[in-house]
Formats: sequence, C-alpha cells, structure tokens
Amino acid sequence: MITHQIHDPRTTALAERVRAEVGPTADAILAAVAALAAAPSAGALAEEIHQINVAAHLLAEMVRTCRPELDEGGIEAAHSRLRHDLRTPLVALKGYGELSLEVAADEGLDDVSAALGPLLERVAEVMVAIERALPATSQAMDAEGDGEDDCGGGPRPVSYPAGRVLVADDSQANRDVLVQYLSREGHEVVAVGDGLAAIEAVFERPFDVVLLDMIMPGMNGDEVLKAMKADSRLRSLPVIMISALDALDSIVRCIEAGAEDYLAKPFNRVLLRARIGACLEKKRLREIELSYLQAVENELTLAREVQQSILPKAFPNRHALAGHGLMDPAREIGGDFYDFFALEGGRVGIAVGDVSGKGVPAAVYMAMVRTQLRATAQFGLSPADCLSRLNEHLSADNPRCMFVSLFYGIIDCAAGTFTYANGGHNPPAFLPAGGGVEWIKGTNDLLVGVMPGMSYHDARLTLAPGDSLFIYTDGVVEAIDPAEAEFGKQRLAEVLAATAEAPPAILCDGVLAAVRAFEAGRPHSDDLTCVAVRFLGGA
Amino acid sequence: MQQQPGLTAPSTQDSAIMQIAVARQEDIAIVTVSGRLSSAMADQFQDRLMAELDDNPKALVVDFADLRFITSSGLRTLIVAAKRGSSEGYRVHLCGMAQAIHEVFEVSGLLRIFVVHSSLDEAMAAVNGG
Repeated sequence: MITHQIHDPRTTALAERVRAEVGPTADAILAAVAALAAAPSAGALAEEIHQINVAAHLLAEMVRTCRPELDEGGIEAAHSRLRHDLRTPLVALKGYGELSLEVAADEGLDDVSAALGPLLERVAEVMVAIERALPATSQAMDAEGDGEDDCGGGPRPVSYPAGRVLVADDSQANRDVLVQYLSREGHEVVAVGDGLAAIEAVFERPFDVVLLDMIMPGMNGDEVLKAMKADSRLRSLPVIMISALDALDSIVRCIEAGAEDYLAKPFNRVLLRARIGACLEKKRLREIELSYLQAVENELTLAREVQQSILPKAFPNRHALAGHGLMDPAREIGGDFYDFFALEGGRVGIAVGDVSGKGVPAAVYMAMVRTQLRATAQFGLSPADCLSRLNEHLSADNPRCMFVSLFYGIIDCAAGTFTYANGGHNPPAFLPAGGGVEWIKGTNDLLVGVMPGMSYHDARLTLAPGDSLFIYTDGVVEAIDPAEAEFGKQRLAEVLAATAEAPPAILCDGVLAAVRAFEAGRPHSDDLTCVAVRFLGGA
Repeated sequence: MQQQPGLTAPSTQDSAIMQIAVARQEDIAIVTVSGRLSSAMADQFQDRLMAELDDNPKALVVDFADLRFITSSGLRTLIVAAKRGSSEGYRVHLCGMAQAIHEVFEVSGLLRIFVVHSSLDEAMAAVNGG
C-alpha cells in the first residue's frame, strides 16, 4: 500500500496527546498482563492469556508509534481513524479479560481472578484515557459503549433463551470474542468475515438473530441488512448492527432500514446479552402468536367443515317440486344452516335456521339443532309441534344461553299446501305465480332454545302451480354497504320480483350476487343463506 | 367468497359506532346503547350489562335511543339479563326502540319476555309505579 504522507502540525499534536494520555496506562496494562501470566494457575487459561498479551502489546505499540496521517478527510478523519484503531485491541483485552474472569471464578482459580481484577481496571482506565485524548464525535453511542460492565464473573441477573446466532465481522479478534461470549451463553454461533459470506449464511441455514458489523470489505453491514429486509423469508430475522464508528447517523439509518438494535465496540457484555436475549424473546413470542393464530384458523376451518357437512347434498326428488339452497359462510362462522328432507306421504320438510353467536360453538349447536330437527320431524309431527319439542330439548340444559331462529315448513305436494311454524326467524317471501312478493306473516313465536314452556303455532298457505317460497337468513337483509346502509327487505323484494320466474338456483344466486354487489367489497360479518322452492303441481 | 388470509380485526366502522352509557336512579340501573350493536361489540355490551346486574338493581331499563342495529349476540345478552331478572325478582324494561329494532324483537318473539315502553320517561314511570 502506498500512502502519501503529509506532515501537519495538527497530526503531530494529536500523536503527542495520545502518547501523553494513553501511554502510561497502556504500559500499566502490559505490567498487569505480565502479573497475570505469572499467576500459578495461568496455564489453565493459556490461550486466553495469550490473546490478552497480544492485544496489550499491540495497544502499547500503537501508542508508541502513533503517527496519524492526513488524507482528504482532514484532521477529523485522522482523529476518528486513530480512535478506532486504538479501541480495536481493547475489544480483545476487555473480551478475553472478562471471559477469563468468568472461567476463573467458575473453576476457583483465585490467583488468576486476583490478577485479572487490576488488569480490567487498567483496561477501563485506558478507555477513559483514549476518551480524553480523542473525544468521541458522537456521545450518545459512546456513553453506552464504554459503560462499566460489572457482572463479568458474577451471577447473571436475567436468563435469556438460547438461539442460533450469526456473527459477521471482518476482525478476527472481534469474531473470536463474540463467539466466545455467545457460546458461553449457550448460543449456537456461526461467524463469518465479510458481508457476502453473511448473505450466503442466512440463505443457507436458519438463524434466530444476526450480528452485523457496519464496515466490512466487499459488502458493508448496511448493505447486507438491506438485502435481508428485501427478502420476504428473511425480513423477520432480527439484525443487530455492530459499530466501532462514532457515527450515530449510520446506526440510525440501519435502524430505519429495519435493524432491531445496535451494539458499540468494544462490546459491553450486559448489553450484548440483553439485546440478543430481547431479540430471541421477541422471536419466541412471535412464534407463539403465529402458532396460536394457526390454531384459531384451524378451529375456524373445522367449524366451516362442520357447517358444510350438515347441509343437504340435493333437494329431494319430487316431480311436483323444484328447490335449491345456498349458504355462503362468513369468515367467522355465523351459524346458518338449511335443510331439506323427504317425509312420509310424499311430503318434503324445509328448514332454515340461524344460530346465535359465531365460531365453533355456533357450528356445534347448529349441528345439534339440525340433527334433532330431522329426528323429531320423522315422528309425523306438525312444524309447530316439532319446534315445541326442539325448544324443550334445547332450553333444558343451556348454560351458554344459545338459541336458534328457526323456520320450518312442510310442503304437501298432493294437497298443495305449505304448513309452517316460525321460531323467531325472518319472515320468508311468498312469490305467487302471477307475480308480486308477499312476506309470509310470522306467528311471532319465540326463538327456539331461549326458555322452556313456550308455545309455537302452525300456519298454512295454499300453493298453486308456479308459486315459489324464498326463505333466507339475516345475512341477506342485514348486509351493509360501505356507507353503512342495510340491504333491507325492500331491496330483497325488488331482486325477488325481478327474478321470480327463474329456476330456484338462479333465484338464490341472483340474491347472493345482488347482496355482494351492494356490499361493494365490504367484508361480510354474517353467513348468508337462501332457499328457494317452486311448487310445480301435477303430482 | 371474500375470504382473506389471516385473521381480520373487527371492522373499525363497527367498533367506532356503538356507545354505551350507564346511569343509576336510586336502585334502577339504566343502560343506554346507541349505534350498531354488532358481533364485535356484543361482548362489551354483555360486560357492561352484567356489571350493572351484579350491583343488584331493583330494575333494569335498557334505553335503545339511536340504536340502529342489534345482532343475535346482543339479543342473547338481553335474554341472559331477563333470565337473571326472573330468578332475582325483577323484569327487564326496554324503551326507545326505533322501528327496525322493534321489528327484530317482534319477529324473534322476544316482545313477550320484555316489557317495552315507547320512551325512557314512560319506562321509569312504570318501574317506579310498579
């Protein structure tokens, strides 16, 4: 590398300040390291002490030969660079120092612990000395980065879950420290030395959190971050930025780009542990939330299946009758159902119901109502008697106070009659062959299942060939448009009048289409059920 | 079908609109509900109403002033209140029903288990007189 050195009195002053402020403490560190190496049990931590020794010599050498260079960045850049360079060996000094203290405490190496105490004090002092000689341009970051960490060998105040951590940092010393730290915390750690390797790693295998150094060769941390946030699979993977720069600006940019948090070098163990822990905890909670949502979704699917499975597959085959039903479920089951079944004497039972409430309870109650109605209907009872019996059964043991609005009628094809009872359901429409729409007067009997002892009443319509019945649930008339207007009976009557001649299936589809068009995309909160039956006569 | 992936939050229109106010006149609990009593709001309505009943009122008056819509879950809450009332010795009085709400009560046959008055004054007079 060729550097064009420019001599400047300001760089000379800077170098002198560093030597004066930092020099004595750097030498004191060398002495403390020598004392550490001389401890009787030092052999147990030979590798760590070696790293500490290398870093201590590097620091002392850097201070001794300190010769800042000026380039186009001017004196400020030189100041920053020098500050960065001097702090680099501190990562290893502080990291290996604290790690050794922890190991020494765990293994009862009191002599090593005793020697590490003064060393770590000197390291703290040298950080202050560097601060005095080369004050940070960004104070917020440094105040935190240099925060005193007093729990290196002590009890851990909070325990965090362990996870899979990717460390991307171009400095071997930083990687080593982080790998040591994090492995000791129980994390599974993978370390890479540049941005491209980080990208490869995150695409290759799953991680729970990524530590990204801001400045790396080839691809910087912020670029890796952007690439990750642009990928849907990696977007939710938390990223913590590592920065030795005194530039809060770039950290802010990364946080804005989606980084979870940042860490300043040299690493503060408490902050590192807390931030990794917070990321893992957040991820764990998110996973719990997702699995809960999945469970709710599964329940809804189940409820929808129950609801669909109880609907009749086809209308009973009668020459004198044509019929069709449809039920369009809301996202959260609304408890609608309809039923057609053959009865003795060529008669056909037709029922439409709407259970109170939503979701699984509504679906289960609906299935019970349908089954009981079918069973009761086979005894040859009139619709009112069926509803009475059903009401007794349902209201006898009903702690949740559920109920069903239920319209049940029997078409006697031979007699040309429709006998019905209405347990609190919307009045169906009668569409006479000659045209027009009439509401089938209700008997105003109570919803079924509310309280025992209620009476239900039969009413009868005479059917002429070509007459139709249209039975529906409130999902039709209570549908609302974006302006909160209700679809209402008037609009329903208009749609029915316009399509009265069409086959039952077309009639039902026409009403559904009209309601959905009216809603204009507004999500519907209730099931929608339509049943149309046409009496053809000539039985 | 307009089903969407993931769960949808209750619509803001619904949640923004229902309002409940609770008042006491001596031992009579008066609950005023307005707007749309939709499924999304039914739990809130139930909680407020039941909290009032836990205070052992002499009577419960529910004023439907400006209520535009009531879902089956809302009816259910009123039925629960009526059942509690019948075992604890009071009736549930309803008043201020708009035509559409009155029709819901009529169609569902619920008029026979509640006492219905045209106005709050009338309801209070009836409760105090009886």
